[in-house]
Amino acid sequence: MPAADGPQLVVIGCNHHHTPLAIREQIALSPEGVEALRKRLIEDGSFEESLILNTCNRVEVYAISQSPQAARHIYKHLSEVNQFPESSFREHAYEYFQEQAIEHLFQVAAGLNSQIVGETEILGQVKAAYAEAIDTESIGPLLHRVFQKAFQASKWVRTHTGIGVGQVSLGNVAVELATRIFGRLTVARTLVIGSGEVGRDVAKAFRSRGVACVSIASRTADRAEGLARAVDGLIIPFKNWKSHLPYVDICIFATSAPGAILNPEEMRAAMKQRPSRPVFLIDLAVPRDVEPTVNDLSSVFLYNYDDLAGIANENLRNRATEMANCKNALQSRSHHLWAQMAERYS
Amino acid sequence: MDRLWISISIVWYLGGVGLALIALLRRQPPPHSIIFGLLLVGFLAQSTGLYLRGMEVQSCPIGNPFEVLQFISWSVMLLFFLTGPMFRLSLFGAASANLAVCISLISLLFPQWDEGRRGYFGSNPWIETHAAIALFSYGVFGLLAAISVLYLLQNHGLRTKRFSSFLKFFPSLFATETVLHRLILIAFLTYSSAVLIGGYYYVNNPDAIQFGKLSFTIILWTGYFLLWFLNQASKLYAHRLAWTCIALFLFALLTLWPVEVNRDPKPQTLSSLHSEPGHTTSTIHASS
Repeated sequence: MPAADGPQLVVIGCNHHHTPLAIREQIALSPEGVEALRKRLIEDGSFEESLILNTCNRVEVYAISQSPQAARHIYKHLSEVNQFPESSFREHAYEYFQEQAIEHLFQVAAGLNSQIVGETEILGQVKAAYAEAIDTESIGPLLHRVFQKAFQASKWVRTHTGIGVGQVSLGNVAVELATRIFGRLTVARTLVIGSGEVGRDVAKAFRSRGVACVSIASRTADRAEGLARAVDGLIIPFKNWKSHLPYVDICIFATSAPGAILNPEEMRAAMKQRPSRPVFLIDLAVPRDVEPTVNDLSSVFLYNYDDLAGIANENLRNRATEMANCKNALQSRSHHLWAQMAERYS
Repeated sequence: MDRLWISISIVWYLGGVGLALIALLRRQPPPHSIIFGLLLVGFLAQSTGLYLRGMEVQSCPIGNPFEVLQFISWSVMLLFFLTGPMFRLSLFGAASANLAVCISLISLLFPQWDEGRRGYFGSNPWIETHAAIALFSYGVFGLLAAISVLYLLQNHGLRTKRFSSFLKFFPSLFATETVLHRLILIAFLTYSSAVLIGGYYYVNNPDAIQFGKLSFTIILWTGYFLLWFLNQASKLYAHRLAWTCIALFLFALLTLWPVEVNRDPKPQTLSSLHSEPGHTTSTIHASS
């Protein structure tokens, strides 16, 4: 493939490195958005293979195309699906071709490109995106090979390097912050809104530290039940969660709502019933569930995903050498794969 | 000799504060037992110093600015030892000792503050009790301010989303506010007791009333009453409560100045007090 006139591997996307959260939440794709984009890419006719990776921190399209206009088409489709201006999208997006695209994917799958460096959840998300692409028959031999190699590279990194050592999870960071607010967590009551993966992990971290009571409110009943079982929590009807707000100390937001579900006025009303008792809001959703100005209220401490990830990465400097080693190893692997593919498909 | 014991106490207090600081800088939990021991030795040394001074003047040693500040510093530490094991607040001892050291050092920095008049309150037990309790309540005010500083540092760290491992050894906001809530009541009750005892004395000695001192006393008492009331009614809390505690303590310290200015500048000795049995004026301390 990789001859100048052959098929091109291209990746276009935006993530937390290049795009602030306020923009990222506008670009984030809903499940329906992913389907619409996939349909567009298939119907476009310019792409022989394509795969969409959509997580809370990144939207990426991997594609194989013979067309020199492939990148332009991807920008167009992403912007139209999101109803986000193409020029603004281009401002925040990145694009990689050929060998750099493979190297980028290897780093993504290995967690080197994640907001919390070395985290493992991303590998599951890449695998899920790959599985969806297989189900919808949108990928072919080239992307199959690239992604399989990415999974191998990720496994190699975790087995042979210390990138995961000393990693601080979001849950641990959140628990540490809660301890600085409340002291002993055994008296803190917790409410989980939504049942997203990250929210689930954080809720488990709180439960393991012995919070007094965990309540779960989710639109999806079966997921709520699963989380309730996992953390020994109580399920409350989603429509009633706001009435519980004055009685909880820690509130974890992890819904897939398209916009904010809690504004300063609602929070102020809740605080009136507990004026002198602080509340810790953890907003892990993208788009955010809580309006940022809620943090201006007295005794309200609002942390979003970026805040927690920034704290979790504070020890990153100590792992800089390890990261450099990982990147070198992945670069060498991607170069090797690229050389093999160039030979086979040119 | 008394000043020597007081200087020794500062060294021990500084040892405790220094140990806590080194542990924090190394991002390690402060060794609470060792710090407690150092502060206890310092407190015993300070108590010995004040006891020797008290024996010398045959009264509670609160007669000049040096003695007043020493008594406040000692009160801060006494209150720490009385309430510390109950409140179990991280860095409570270090914060108390820090405040005590600052006050002690200031008192030692100006030798003229300890010249001339010493031990003033031997003439009337009521006014002496009143002054001693008033100064003890200044110690409570000081402790409130010191804990408020801990609260504000933790609050600032959380607001600015800094995850300094330094701050993780600070007490939690909730625990700090709970201690503030209890100390405010102690401050209000002790100061009210001092005012009541002083009031009883002044009712019987209306000539002794000084307008400036009385005004400051009323203002300060009202300030702490409002602090207690508003906190009790959940109208004043969190960082505003902490700032108010600091502001009120600074105001309380400022009131010491006009009180000292209003004093009888003539140095007095025990013998002169004994020779003037009717002497009761110009001896009321602080803003009491």
